[in-house]
Amino acid sequence: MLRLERLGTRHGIVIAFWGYRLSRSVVQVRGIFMASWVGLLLLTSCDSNSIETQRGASVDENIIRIASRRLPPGFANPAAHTGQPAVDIWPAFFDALTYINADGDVIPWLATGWTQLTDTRWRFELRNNVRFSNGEPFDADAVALAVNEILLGYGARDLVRTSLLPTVSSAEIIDSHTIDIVTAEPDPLLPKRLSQFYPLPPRYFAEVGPKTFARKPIGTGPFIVERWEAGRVLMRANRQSWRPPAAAGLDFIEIPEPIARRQAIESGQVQLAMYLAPEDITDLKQKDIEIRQAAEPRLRMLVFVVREGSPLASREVRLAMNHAIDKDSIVKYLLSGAGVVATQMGVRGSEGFDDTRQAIPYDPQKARALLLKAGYPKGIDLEMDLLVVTNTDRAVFEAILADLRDVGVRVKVNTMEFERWRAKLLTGDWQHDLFSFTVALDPLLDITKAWQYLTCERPNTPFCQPEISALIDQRARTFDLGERDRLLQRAHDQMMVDPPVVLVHEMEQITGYRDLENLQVDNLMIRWDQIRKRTRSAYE
Amino acid sequence: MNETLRRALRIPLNLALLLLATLTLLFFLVRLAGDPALILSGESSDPAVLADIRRHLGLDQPLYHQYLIFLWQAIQLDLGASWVSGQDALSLALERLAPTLTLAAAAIAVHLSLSIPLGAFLGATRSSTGTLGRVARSLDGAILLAQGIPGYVVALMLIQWFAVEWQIFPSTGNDGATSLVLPALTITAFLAPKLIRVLAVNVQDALQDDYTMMARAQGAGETTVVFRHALPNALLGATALIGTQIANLVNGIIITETIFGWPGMGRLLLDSVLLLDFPVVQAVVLVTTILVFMANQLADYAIRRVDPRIRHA
Amino acid sequence: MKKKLFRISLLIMLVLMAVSIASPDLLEAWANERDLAKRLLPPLSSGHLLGTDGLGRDVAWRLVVGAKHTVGIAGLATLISAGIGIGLGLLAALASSWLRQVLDRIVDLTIAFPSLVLAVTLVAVLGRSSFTLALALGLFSWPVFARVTTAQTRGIVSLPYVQTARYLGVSEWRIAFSHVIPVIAPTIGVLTALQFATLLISTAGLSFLGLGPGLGVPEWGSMLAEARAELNRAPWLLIGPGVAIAWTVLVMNYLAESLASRLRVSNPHD
Repeated sequence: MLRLERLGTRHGIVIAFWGYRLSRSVVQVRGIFMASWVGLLLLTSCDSNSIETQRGASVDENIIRIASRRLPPGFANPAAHTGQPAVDIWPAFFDALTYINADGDVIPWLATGWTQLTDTRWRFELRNNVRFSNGEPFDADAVALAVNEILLGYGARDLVRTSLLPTVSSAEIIDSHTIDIVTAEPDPLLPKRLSQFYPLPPRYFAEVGPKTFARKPIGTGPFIVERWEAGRVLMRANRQSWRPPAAAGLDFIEIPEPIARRQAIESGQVQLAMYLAPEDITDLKQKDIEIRQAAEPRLRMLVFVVREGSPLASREVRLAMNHAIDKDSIVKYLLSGAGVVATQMGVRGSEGFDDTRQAIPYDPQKARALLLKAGYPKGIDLEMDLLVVTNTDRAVFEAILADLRDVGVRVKVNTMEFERWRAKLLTGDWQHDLFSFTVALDPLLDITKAWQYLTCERPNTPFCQPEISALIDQRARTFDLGERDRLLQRAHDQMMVDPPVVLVHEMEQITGYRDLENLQVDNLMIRWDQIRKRTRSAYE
Repeated sequence: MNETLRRALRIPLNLALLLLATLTLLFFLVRLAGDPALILSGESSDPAVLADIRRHLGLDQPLYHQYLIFLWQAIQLDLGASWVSGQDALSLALERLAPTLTLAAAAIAVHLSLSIPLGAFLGATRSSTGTLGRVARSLDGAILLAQGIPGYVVALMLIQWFAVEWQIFPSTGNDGATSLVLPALTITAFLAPKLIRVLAVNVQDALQDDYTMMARAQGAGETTVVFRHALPNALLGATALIGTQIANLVNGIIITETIFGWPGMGRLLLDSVLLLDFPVVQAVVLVTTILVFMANQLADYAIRRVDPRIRHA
Repeated sequence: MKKKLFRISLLIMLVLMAVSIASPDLLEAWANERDLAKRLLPPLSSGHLLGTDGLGRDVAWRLVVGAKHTVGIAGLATLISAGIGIGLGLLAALASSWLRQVLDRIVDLTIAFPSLVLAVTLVAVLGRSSFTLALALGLFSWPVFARVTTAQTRGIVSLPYVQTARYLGVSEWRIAFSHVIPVIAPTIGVLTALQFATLLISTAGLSFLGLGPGLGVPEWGSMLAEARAELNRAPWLLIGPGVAIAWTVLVMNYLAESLASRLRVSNPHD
């Protein structure tokens, strides 16, 4: 790669001089000319303070540049975002009480152990000798602050409430390294949930307030945030951390478009690119970029909104739509095999997943027959609310719509952006017959995350199926693993004959990297403390 | 009152009117978009929380009341807090001002440096005989074709070759002078063909006019005739176009910033619109409107200074 | 030579447009025929002149059907902006000077609005559809029509025979329709052709950014967006819509220029 980064203010002056010479014969526009060249100089030289230091920073051989899909829009506010990609960055400088490892087990992290005292009270022992990067000790005070003030306090208005700890009602300090967490209802998943819950330094937080904290966060993690700007976060190693990192620093660059992310890693601008598109895998491998594929606990589905008099009230119609879609071709051709057909409302690795279960088969003839039987010889017309984010989404949905059209189900599409879709999801205010839902079951890997929007207990549920809903809701309150499994399987069996959704496929997370080693991905979260630049071997 | 003074006083008045109109338009557009409470409430759909948010934002007041408060706050430069990050909307927008201005300046510089000489060259040699003429005519054809190709297509091609295949320039981000090159070239591709063609026509016309014949008769060399005599007059005819192009730079900037991941206001606007983060949208639109207005005023002033016909009118 | 080339292209364009509007269902079906196993085939593969796209659909057919959408939206936008612009322009020229001042100010304000910025906002607020896009574009591009109309109309209105008609009590409307419009029609016609070309590029541009009619609708701008995703594997996908847009714009510009010289109209931008 040409070393054009060396271009600086001096070169700018030379260019401006020749530009001026050229403009001398061009009397009238001289003014604009000069203005723009001078302006350019000034701007690049005052910008260059940040550019020089940043360039200096990342030209530093040991800082790893990462192309991220999205940095948390609320800056470093861990209560504001609960899903990927925003949460990807937290483990780089924050730590949670527990951690979910590659096998899906909950292991101690900032909490060294826990016991369940009663149905609603859990006691956690906290790790000793851990300090925040500003020197404040990590102890029960920090956890209490995070629970009582951030989650339960001003969270509703100034920050966004997380849905991950809806069951927590308070935290009580027992001693400096022991804390009790009390839930409002029995919650068997509490330790798992706490893997997304990050204690904050109480004194610093009280001193600067939430807004400044978000710009300059302090945590116990392997890196310290040096600068957080729009679209870019630079952080350096925190050698005092209880888990110091292998790399000297990380430079996260927000590149929302998958195409641009791919181009960034192809051109060598970054060493790690997250969330690449499945269709790019072959090309990237040819360019010597390594690919890590990890099964994501994400399910793509279409949800039925069933109202009085709608054709979807008929079980046959819903089954027909499930039979109409050629999911195998979608996974094979449009995803290049990165993903599997969804067989149940759960993903590989989730609790109670039955790998012997088969998906509803692709059978367009049967689909047409079912529609006929339901009394729709001319097919039906439906409207769908659709959220399309990437090019892959678009391709998959176009294929789905075309498949449906082939059996006589004509779907009119209403594309919307994420916020509008999310508002509808929360209020249940769906005005059309279908909506697209790519539900992320992480980090708990459990059906409950999807089911909370579909359960009969919700006032505005799109489709209430009393039997299925009762089974799943009962399971949520059961602690016995065997019983939970039985209930879940019965629910899935029912869904096969009376589907509330059209299940499509499970997804995979594709990460590309070059010149790096020791990339470890646990449950879709990259171990930022382990990754480092590849050391050149003697014979390269 | 003196004519110049009157004209000068009208500028702030126009600006104030413009801002008022923009703010009003934005106010109603945002109300059309839906309920901000839902966006701010995050994952909770508890009606009590929603009501609380609405009260906090003043949404339970009558419309005209909200409008007046909105205007009053705007005058104090308080455009509200981002619904997504809680940070001050105006600060978020201004943070991105420098990269956008840098890009704009680079684009104008490259655009003019390329278009003016090329336009002059084409105008002078288009009708010549021999190789020079042939070269000029094929270049002419290429530019005609280029006028139809949208800038974003050019951008994609540039990225594919210069960034991915040959790895000369970066394809994304703001890393120093090299990152400017491809985005600036993209915007130039939006603007250059039109200016080149207009200049070429003007130069060609000027070269057949009396005063150039006079210059030639006085023994001036062909290059001098073109650059000293024909070109300045050609530029006079094109200053209106140049002015419009500079003022309309905004459109090209939005698309370019999106494609190249340039951290400027254009991209912030698009992102905020998609996130339904309307305070930030308002802030960006306001800042952009002021900038475009100023650019228009400068262009107008330049035209008036420069064109002797208007200056002495 | 150039003339002939453009004449032929104009003819082809008109034929294609007619075909695409006349039998919508059949053509849309052909354009949507897909075969996932045959995706991303290069041009001149079996039965696919320009190859296939990401879902195995024939690119050439999608371009033809896409013409209806892209050209349709741009056309609607042009109509909206011409309608508003000419209407307001006439009003400004024929009405009292107070009204003219106000309208003048409105024109200035609209020009100062960064149009793409507000078009993007409007689409986000109203939701994505062909109509919204056309509306957004039309609402911000009318000033040039207004300015030209006003300038030309004022020229005509100051002529003696029009002044006479005024003294004789002829209503402003009749003056507008019988005296003004016939005379300015050629200039406006040329301007419309030029504006259409500009709006076509803007339509495809906004659609490229994702603000267009949406899924499944073959439209040149969104075809470009798809081409961008597949640029590594299938660079030919870029050529189809790119050339289609460029060619339409060129033909429109040529049409404008030849109309201008034929009707002896001076540059409307003067």
